[in-house]
Amino acid sequence: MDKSLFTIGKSIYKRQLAVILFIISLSYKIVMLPKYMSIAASRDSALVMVVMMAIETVMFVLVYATITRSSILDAGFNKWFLKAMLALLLFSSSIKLVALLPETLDYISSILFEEGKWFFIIVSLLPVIGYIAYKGMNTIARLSEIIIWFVILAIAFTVLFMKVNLDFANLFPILDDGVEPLGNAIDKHFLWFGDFTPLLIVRLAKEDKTRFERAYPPLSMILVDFAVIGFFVAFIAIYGNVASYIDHAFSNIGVYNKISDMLGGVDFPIIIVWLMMSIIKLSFLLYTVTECTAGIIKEKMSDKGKLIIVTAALVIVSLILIFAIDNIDTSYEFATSDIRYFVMASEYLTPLIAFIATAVKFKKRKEKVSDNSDRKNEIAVRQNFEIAEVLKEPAFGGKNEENN
Amino acid sequence: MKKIIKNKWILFVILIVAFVVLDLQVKNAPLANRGIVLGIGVDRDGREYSVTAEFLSPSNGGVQNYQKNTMLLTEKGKTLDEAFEKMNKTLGIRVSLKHTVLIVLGENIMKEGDYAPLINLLEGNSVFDDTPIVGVRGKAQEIFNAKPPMYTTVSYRISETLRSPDIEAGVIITNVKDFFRMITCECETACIPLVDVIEGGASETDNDGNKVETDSIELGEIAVLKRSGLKLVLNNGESDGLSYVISNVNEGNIFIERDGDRPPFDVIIVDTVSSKKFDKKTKTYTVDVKMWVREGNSMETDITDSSVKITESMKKAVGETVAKEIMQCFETCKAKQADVFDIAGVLYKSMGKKYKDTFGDNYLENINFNVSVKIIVK
Amino acid sequence: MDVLERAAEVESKMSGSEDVIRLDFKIAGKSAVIFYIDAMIDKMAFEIGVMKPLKGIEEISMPYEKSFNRVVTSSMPIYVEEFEKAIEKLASSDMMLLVEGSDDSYIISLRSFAMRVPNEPPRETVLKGPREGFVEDIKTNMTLIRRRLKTPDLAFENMTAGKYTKTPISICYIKGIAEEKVVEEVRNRIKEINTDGILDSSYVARYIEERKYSIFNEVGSVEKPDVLAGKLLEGRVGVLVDGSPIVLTVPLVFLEQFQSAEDYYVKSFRATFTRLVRIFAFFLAILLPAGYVALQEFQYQIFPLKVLASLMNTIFGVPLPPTLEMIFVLLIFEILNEAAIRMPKHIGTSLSVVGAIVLGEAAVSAGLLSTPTILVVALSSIGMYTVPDEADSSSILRMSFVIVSGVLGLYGLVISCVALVAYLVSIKGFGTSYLAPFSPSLPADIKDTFIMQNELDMKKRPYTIPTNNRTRKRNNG
Repeated sequence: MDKSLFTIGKSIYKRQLAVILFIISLSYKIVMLPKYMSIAASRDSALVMVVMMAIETVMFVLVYATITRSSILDAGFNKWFLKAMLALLLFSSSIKLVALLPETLDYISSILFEEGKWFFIIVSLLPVIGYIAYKGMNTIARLSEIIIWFVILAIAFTVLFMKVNLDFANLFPILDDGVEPLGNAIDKHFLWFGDFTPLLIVRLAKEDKTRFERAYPPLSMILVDFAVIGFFVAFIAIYGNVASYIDHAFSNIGVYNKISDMLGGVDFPIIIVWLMMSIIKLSFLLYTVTECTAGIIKEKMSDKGKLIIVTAALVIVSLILIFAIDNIDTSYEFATSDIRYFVMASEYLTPLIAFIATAVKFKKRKEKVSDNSDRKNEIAVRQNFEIAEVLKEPAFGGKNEENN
Repeated sequence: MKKIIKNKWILFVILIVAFVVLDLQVKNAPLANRGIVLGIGVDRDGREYSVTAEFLSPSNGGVQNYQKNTMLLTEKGKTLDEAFEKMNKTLGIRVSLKHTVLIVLGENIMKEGDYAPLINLLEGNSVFDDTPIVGVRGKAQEIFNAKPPMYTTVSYRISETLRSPDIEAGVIITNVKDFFRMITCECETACIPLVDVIEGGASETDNDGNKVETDSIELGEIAVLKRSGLKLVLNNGESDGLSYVISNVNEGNIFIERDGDRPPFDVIIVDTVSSKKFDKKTKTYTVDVKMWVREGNSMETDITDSSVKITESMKKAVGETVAKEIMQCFETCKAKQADVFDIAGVLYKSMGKKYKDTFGDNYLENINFNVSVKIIVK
Repeated sequence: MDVLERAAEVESKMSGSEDVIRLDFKIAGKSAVIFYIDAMIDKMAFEIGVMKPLKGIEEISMPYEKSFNRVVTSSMPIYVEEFEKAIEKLASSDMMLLVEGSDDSYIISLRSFAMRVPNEPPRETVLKGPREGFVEDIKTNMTLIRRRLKTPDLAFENMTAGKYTKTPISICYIKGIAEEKVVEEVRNRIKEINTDGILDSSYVARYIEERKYSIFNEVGSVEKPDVLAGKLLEGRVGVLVDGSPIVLTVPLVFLEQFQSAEDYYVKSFRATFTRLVRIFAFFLAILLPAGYVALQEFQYQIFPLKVLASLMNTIFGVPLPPTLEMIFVLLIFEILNEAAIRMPKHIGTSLSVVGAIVLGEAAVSAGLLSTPTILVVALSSIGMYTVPDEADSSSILRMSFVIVSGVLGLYGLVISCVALVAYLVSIKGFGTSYLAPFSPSLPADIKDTFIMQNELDMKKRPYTIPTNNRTRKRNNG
């Protein structure tokens, strides 16, 4: 059997990356974070987001520059160096998974059920997340491509039919209490940021389908910056000081539309769409945990091995959520405890290290290729890095549109 | 092959068991076991809350008759949740609040400034944030006994009036979110419409052709609340003045009495837009109101006579009336230190917290309040 | 061996069947025995074109078949076959000739049996466009395809499968358009078929599919030659199976099943509209019952107030919980469905009316079921058949979703849909992703999915299907 005809590849396209980064960055910044930020920084929470999204953008640039050369898994790093990086990624992704899952559980239990117990949500949600994570990055990417249409439609519906009093005066005056609340807000809520670090393990397809393919991820980053900051601005403009009472900002805003006057609360498109986005995000985190664990244990782990890792991870997370972090307040305390500093260190240092390491490796390889005219070496190099421009010819033979 | 089939059967059994277990864990009430609440009334009864709920009562007849078929139930409890729990037990069905179209605050709740029930509703996500709030003189429970015309329930009737795109002068809409936003902002003042029931104030003909007396529901006054409780009730003229500034009045008439032999006239309000600004130098807070009007019914004495138009003096008279009502509202509220126009918010926006040092706690006394009204004939 | 002894062996190997006819005669004075299966040969051609000339031969010499072919007038020449294989051919309705003086077995092919005339298939009816459909005879089907693709690049590769049925199977594709890897893979999979009998193309489909236990089709089915021709021109590979009027096509994408032949024969705006209706009907069919149950059991707040009031009036007093009520009505509809297919036509219509209308009406009047439930299920059942190829999977899906929604509400419905989509996006068959061109996104192919662009604008074959020849050749000038 020709397996290539029946198995999807491991690499994703840049347009899929663009969609993924939009979803993973947006999803958990617009639910409970607005409430936490407004408690910490009051009307300056929008300004906090401007600062944090600027940092996120810088992180994205580092990560994107790295993975366009190669995923850290394929870069040919020293075995122990790679394991160290994977260990950092594993640590930060696991902590984030445990910290962010309760937000989803609380969202589901309070909005979709009448304060339902977390147990049955855990039992039903985790297998789905585990299944998607096990299927791999390509499945997550393709699922995102489908879901993004619903996200766009829901947001467009909400914005087009919005009927609410936006009082931008609620945002002023800026920094009336000084910079300290801003600093406190940033310091306390690091865990909700650094979403792009796990992308270091993503394999990008070497071929671009169109000329504009390379522009999609940066454009998506700009879009998510505007979306997050715009959301915070709108949220404060609508709620003012009441913002600190609103648990689930994204779904509450969905109520304010003209159709609600006719039909009652029409917030369910937003509710459903956020649920889908959170599944993508959580699956991505779990996938990162799986791949990093697999990479640490063995260089090329079989599918069966990965299944065991996913199952073990789900069991551990379930036990933590049932016995330790069993409500949203405990989860917040955990997320804002000192562990956030370790996560922060991991999430902001790892991209920098990876960027420098791949840059050095790339430079060395480039020098080696230009000296060596051996065709076999060129092919071997081409397999690791996309340096088609060095050889002035297409990276592959015919252009196969469907290489995934 | 046998292993695959055996595994699939095992998986199937596990799934069935899992579903049964989940079904037992999940506590839900099907629609038939729910009491849909249309309106909630909250009163204070000693140390407890007396909560009245207007339920939708299912019966035959579809949409036509549903509006008449409601049921009232009042329970007491230390919190709103306790009262609703008691209702659950009394009715044997689960009280469901997501279709609540109105929240009514009784007079004693307003006077005491006890907003805990509302905070409860807001935080618990029990009702939508945009649910309107109204106040009543006396007990909230009594309002639900009214029999409004047009086969409507009380809650529905009031909420339809409030949500209507045609906003009359004197009518403002305050929802749960806006109420708390105003109470927690710099001005610490929120306004809610007061509902008044006039028994026998209207009549209608039923299906058998008999004349039936019904009650009419008026929304003319506005209750002004601060964190400490009810401060004052604005009369009709003052309410009109407030609504011109904080609401988009686009319906109703303004009647103008004139001196001497000149006949009175009225104009129909088409639209109103207001803006506020503060001049630091002159310490003047200016409310600018633009109002579009057209000839009123009293002016159309002869349909063939197209020469009847609003003159400049008429416009001036209308502008003066509107400005007078706004000023009256401000003066009345100033006397009670109620900042209904959110002057503090504007001061805070332009000066930050320093405004308190400059103007003190009695900032309303220390600023110049100015009204500018521009009447445009449409 | 003596010819009579060999003839006795043939009779023994044919299990002494009564329908195997044996004729003893002489050719040029030599004893000859001919075997054939009654009613499976063209008797007129046999008598005039074969028997008479053979009996008239005065002299024959080795190799005998040359002498035979000089005199017989059948369209297929007489040829030599191994004894065992000759018996298989006899069982396949060819004629077997044994002649004294030669150990060879001779095969004469004069097959003729009753078969259906090509007519419009029941599942692919059109208002505009050709109405011919495939029949059970593979050769007729091949002819129907040839008539539409008059190109030397149209290739048929014949094989057989099934130990006892020896069913002829033919792989058809257009050389230079179909991807060789795909053809190779199909060929290999058919070669690996190891079973007693292949009675229909669906048997072959099970062997070609990668995921044997999936509820979704991975192999397409076509009943009309014009549709198959269109698919072959896009780069697909067809599999014809003798005895089945349904031709298989690979690769298959999910959205393909929402396309109808008529889409290509009407104006593009009309085709776009009907496709959107089909897609909407399909999703309505699988999600509406589950959504209704979820809203009733959990998320009642989504109902607008007036709808809620009407609904509460109608469901008041119904004894069953919403989930059980829905499952019960779905089962009743499935029973009605099955009965309608199998019922004799004379009583079918009246019993359908009784079942659907009277039963439903009576149940509602008695307060056992509610009207909205019956309405929902009726809409869903009708919607299911706008995409008949997915009717089987829709039926399973809607029932599964109802159960999940009954337990977990809208949340359960959403996560099961997400899990389902995750499963579908990971399916790849014969080089094509199942949810292409939406995932992975292939914008160039969108013009033939929800929307139907003008054929004049479709200059390239779909990127979804692997092919080495992307451009649809057109004549210049």
